[in-house]
Amino acid sequence: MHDDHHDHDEHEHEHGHDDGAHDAPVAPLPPTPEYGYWKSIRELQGQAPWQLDPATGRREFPTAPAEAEPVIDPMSRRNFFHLMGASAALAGVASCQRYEKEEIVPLARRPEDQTPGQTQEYATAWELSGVGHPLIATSYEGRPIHLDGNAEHPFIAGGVVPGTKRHAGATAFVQASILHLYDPDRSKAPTKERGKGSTMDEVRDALPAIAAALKQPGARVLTEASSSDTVRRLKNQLMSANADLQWHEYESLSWDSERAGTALAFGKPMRPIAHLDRCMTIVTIDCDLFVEHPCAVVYGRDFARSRRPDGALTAMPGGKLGDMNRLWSVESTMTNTGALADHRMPLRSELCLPFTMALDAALANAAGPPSAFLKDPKTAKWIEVLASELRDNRNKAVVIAGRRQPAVVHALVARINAAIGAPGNTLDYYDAADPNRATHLESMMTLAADMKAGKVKTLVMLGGNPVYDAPADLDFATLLQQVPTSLHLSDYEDETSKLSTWHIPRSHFLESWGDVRTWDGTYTLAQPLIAPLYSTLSVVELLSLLTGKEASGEHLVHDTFDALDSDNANWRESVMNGFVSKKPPIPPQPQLQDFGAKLQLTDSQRGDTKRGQGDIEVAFHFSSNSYDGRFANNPWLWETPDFLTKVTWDNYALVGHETAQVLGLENDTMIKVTVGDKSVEVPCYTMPGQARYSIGLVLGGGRTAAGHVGGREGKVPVGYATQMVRQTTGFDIALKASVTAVGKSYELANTQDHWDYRPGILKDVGNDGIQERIPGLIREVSNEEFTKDHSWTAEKNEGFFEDTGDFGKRNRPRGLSLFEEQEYSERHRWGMTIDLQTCTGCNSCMVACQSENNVPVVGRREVINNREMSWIRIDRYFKGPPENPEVVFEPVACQQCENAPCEQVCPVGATSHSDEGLNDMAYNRCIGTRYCANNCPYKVRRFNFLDWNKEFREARMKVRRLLFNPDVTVRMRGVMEKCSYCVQRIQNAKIKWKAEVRSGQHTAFVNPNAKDAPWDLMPDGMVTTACQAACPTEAIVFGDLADPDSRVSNLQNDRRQYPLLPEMYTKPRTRYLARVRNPNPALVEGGGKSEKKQEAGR
Amino acid sequence: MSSEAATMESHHAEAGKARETFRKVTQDVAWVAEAPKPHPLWLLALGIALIMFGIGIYSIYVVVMTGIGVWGNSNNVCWAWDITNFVWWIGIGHAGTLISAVLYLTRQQWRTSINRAAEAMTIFAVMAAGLFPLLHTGRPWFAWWMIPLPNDMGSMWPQFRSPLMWDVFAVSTYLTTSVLFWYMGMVPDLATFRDRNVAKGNKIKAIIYGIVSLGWRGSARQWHRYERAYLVLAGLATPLVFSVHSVVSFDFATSQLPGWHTTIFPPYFVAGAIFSGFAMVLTLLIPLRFLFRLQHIITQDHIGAMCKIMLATGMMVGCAYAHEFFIAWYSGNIFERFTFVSRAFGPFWWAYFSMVSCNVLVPQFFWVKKVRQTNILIWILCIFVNIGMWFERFVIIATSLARSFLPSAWAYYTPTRYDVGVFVGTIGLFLTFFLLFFRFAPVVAISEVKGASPEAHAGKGGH
Repeated sequence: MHDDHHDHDEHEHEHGHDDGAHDAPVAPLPPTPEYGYWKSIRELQGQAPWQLDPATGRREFPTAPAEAEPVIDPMSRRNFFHLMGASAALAGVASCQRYEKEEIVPLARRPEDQTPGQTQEYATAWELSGVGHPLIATSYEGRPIHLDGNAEHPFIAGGVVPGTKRHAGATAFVQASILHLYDPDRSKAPTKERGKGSTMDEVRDALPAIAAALKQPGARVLTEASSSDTVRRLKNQLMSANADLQWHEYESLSWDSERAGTALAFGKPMRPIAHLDRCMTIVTIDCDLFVEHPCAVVYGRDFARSRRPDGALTAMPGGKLGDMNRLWSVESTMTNTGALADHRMPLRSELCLPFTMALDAALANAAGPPSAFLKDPKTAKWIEVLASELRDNRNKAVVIAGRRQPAVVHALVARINAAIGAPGNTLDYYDAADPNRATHLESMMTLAADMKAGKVKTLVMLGGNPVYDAPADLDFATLLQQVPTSLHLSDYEDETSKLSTWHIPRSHFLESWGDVRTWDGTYTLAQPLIAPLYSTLSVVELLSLLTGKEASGEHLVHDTFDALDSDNANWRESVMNGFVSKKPPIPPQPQLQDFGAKLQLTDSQRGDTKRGQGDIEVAFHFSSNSYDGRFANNPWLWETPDFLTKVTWDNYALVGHETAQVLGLENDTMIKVTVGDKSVEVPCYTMPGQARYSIGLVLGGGRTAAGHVGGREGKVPVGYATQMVRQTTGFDIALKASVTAVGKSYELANTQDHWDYRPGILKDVGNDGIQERIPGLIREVSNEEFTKDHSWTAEKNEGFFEDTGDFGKRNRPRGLSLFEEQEYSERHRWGMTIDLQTCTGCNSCMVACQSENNVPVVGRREVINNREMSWIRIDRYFKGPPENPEVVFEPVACQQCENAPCEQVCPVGATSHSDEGLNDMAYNRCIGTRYCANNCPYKVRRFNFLDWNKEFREARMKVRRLLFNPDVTVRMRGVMEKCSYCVQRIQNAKIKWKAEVRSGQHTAFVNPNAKDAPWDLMPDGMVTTACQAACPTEAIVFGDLADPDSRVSNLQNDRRQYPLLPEMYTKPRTRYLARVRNPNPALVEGGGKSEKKQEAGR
Repeated sequence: MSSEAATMESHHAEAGKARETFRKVTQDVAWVAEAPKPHPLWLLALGIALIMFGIGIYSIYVVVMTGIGVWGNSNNVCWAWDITNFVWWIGIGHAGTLISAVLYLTRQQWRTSINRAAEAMTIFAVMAAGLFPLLHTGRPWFAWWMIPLPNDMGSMWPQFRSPLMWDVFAVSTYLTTSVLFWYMGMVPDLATFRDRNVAKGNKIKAIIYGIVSLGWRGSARQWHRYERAYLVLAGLATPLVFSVHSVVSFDFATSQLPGWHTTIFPPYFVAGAIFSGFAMVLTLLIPLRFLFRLQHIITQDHIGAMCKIMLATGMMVGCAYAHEFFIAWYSGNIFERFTFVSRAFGPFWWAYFSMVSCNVLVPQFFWVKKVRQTNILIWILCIFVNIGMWFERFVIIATSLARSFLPSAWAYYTPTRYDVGVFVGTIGLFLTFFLLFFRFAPVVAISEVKGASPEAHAGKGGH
């Protein structure tokens, strides 16, 4: 609630006056440190991160790693033989002959044949919760190994950095989805009679009966959200054949409240899509733009475009220096958006309605709603300043509400957007598909009611896992068992499959034809890259079987394509590109309707933010590790730490500091959350910036039939079944919950805060150290200073060394280095910049790197032992008061130092420099002294303490081995590894380029410095690292510093650039670009003081 | 005349007494190896040592077969007990050469009673130390890549800028020289053992001792050459006392890490090494001289002298601790300053203060003469010094790594049972060898003790 982080007196005063009659007094928060930076609440309080067990006292040896605990639980002998059979069947992966020959069209330059050992790229697409993701899949000799965004796609593609017109990022979920193709736990064969083994032949025999039953009364179809035109076409066919057939669509994380809200505002559901690149002011209400939103990748990119402080780079016409957007965020839990916001207000999700009403009223100069919390002078001023900024930035501002917020908030947001001139300028309303369908929750409730009433005789479920994620009070598991015939098509034999009379394995999206629409409605095609590994069916194939007219996926999609109004797009070309470039039309701006009658506030919403036990709000969050639980068997995602909590391998409840104190909850303990008559035990994470008396409950754990990784029957699952308290009332925001401590400690596997938090004699030693050094490590500047002071540079003249920066020149003085410095080639000098301004912390780079570089997964226990292997990590620190801190973050991978401390100390020369400036690792030369890691100031080296790839030698993992990138060595135990700047991609690009130049192509490119080797100068952008390709905002730019015009060269001359730890004289090739904050001057008091303090602290 | 005759007479009498004394020295040293049955306490000690050795072998088996992930080391604290133990053992190995070579060159004759045992200790300590650089590597079966072996693979050559390479040479040179020195010094005494066994008719023992005594006959020419060679080796070994631990300290001093990157390390490490070496000598000799009744050869004066050396080196070490703090403050470097404050008052404060109290406070007791004469007290104090010196290495290595430059990479370190197991195993190895040495080899340099005893100077006018 406090925007001003530097004014102690004010917020102490605030605490002074809200000692209501509710409950026990609240002890003061830990004081805001002088320079502001810290890592976690526990640390700030000077407490150990893990709970000390009162019975046993301090656990001095908590981490005894006896043997490597396998990431996934090992096989029983029985299962082993069971799966051996499947693996043997797999041996002929490409020999599955059931499918007719189909032609798919590669994007390669030489489509006529395939060169062995060369990768090929194909456009395809994937759908998550009804949102299409256009992709480029990299295939190695017939097996897909890596996914990227489709850089040609009209919606998601488009660069941020000048010179990169074509670029598309991909979310972490997209990057990780490829793992499921090769997951040995995937369902391989159908089952019948609720779990008995069956065969596809039996299914085919049974399908006509089910198809016939679908024509009878009592037939229901339940699907995941789908944007596929082919699915819709087949659905219409089925529906037209049976008037009684009811079609339900359900997603546990749904954006339907936006549909409902726009229906309220305009009379019909619309889909708003903002153009953040045209915005000067962006306001989010309980909404995460950068990870959770269906447009996350596009919003990230557009945000980055208008976020760059150099006005010339914005999409805004006539932009000037200092033109950058300002992000305002109101939310109950700290999200990536809140972390980037210039102004953030933590607010109970439930109170976002009165807040939005107040903002609406302020814009209309009317009186706001009578909510007590709005009377707080700070809140009032916040809203006033925001309203005046929105008025000033008319036509250049937008407000976006999140999926949890009720329809009225979305309707109000539509009204506010209309008032600030957003539609047509910064916001377009597209027609929503299926305008007449019920919302996901209503649809599920209707279905459940019918099932309860015994009306449902045949239930076909296409994807989804309602037994796990339907509202808990519906008790879908019981209802499903009462349905005489149920059929579940899914990738895994999951909770729902086990209770369905039939389960049919679904083809992975890389095995099947399909079509999706991106959030704006662009028609996007998905082609298979591999024949189905098992006898599986795709959704469209099953639907076609159910219509009685069996057709191949290709035919089905082709038929849909032919019926499309697509300006006569060519099928072959469209498949190759992966989309039909005809943009969906933007309908005329809809007319606002009056919905004032719906604006009713509850008593709770009229109250203030101070609550007590039994009046706690629970806001349900997606998990950045498993989404809503569907990725529960994905070890890559489980091990990628959540951006803000840095927790891996778990889900948890996010509890604010004050809430925790009043309710007696502590970090790393188990707590019991009770909503209505249901309760769940879950670990507690004390989250800075969490709204008072609001708990963020992360979904997606506690799966009982996910697989060897995520949990299966009889095994301890990953995480906790938080969905058990999610009910039809309060599906997204549950009220009147109570939260109590259970009295058990629980250690969360945290990659950052657990890396020490045992206080010493002076508990502030660590805190002081952090505060002192972060301003030097993560440089920030206010937009005001950046704009006014043209001499400001992020890289201060430290005066440590007389380094003229002419690295690479011959005969240069040794400088202050002990040894003669390495000489670098003038042909290529690889370098990277990472822009802290536009990094949204979406974790895409982490998963992309894992996929590209065969980075092993170590499991929960070993993460606790600080042995996670990620080559790139995102450091995250907080700044300011714990109840509403700022967040600073910094992705750190190998800095590729020119003067690398690691190289000097390796006794066998296993790590040494290439003349292009890469700090190379020769894995097979490494003997594992780990001296290099000790001497690395950035701590980016990762050691294989145990054989992390042991499980791949199991027979059942044979299929999983197909995913390995053959260009990257799989490291054995005892070997050091680290980021290589994707050296395999560099070499491949160089070889390719050289071959092309030699064969007479590209005559325009001649390097004047190397006439004998004209291929030396490669066009900028030919090499992209995996992290760079995945980054939606192009925060990571890689290229050749030898080319003075390359993007990376330009960025390394930017005044925002600075190296990490320059005083070490490592001369890193990776440079950072300082973060520019853009607070509204009207809300900054004493900000100048804080800047000075930061300077002094450096 | 009469007075002259009287002098002659007394001279003869003294010479006879001296012969008697010399024989007794030989007798007293040799009985240890000649006693048909070992002392039961010796057997008990050997049993315990073998059990510890066994634990070590099992732990090493697990470490090599499973990977060093069974230890507590992490990506942040990459070195912990492994290198701590290495440096500790190397330090212990310092007293031997110091006593043999430096004190020999400086004519400190009191050394003769203890130098043999101290040299043996050096060798066994360096053996124990040598295990760690080998075991701590991720792939110990490739550790031989650190040796510059000519090969036909072009650039497959060690990287000589790495202090770990310097370690390889420093430690192997030290071990070689120490073994030579020890063995050469032992040759006359082994010959004595041979002769005694020949006299007693112990054939097998006589043959074994005969082989290892290399045909020593004790002729004047052999003695002449022996003395020359001994002097040359002492001259060679003396710089090694200072170089080995200096080089080991370069592992840390040449790195970038605050808390490691310190120019004071070479002298500081050498002083610490001598300190811990003497502590270990006393820890072993005090019970063994009692056990084998060598109190009149290894006298209280000798023990007192060693206590004084410990007092001196202990204060040098203390001085270094203070100096490190001063420099950290004086440097104005925030990372440096933080490391030291955090070391003393941060999460590892208990290790830091264990180190300071054991290494700086405990030796202060040696100011008191009464303490220097009470063996049980000395023994207890020496145990503390051994612990303190272990903590010194742990504090330097682990606490610096635990909180390095980027706070996101801060960690805590906790050992596992395999960390402890390997360490216990090396203690077992050390003790086993030492006990065997005590039983089967001349534990005191018989010839040198004779040369240094007052009786040897009896003929020189009452000196």
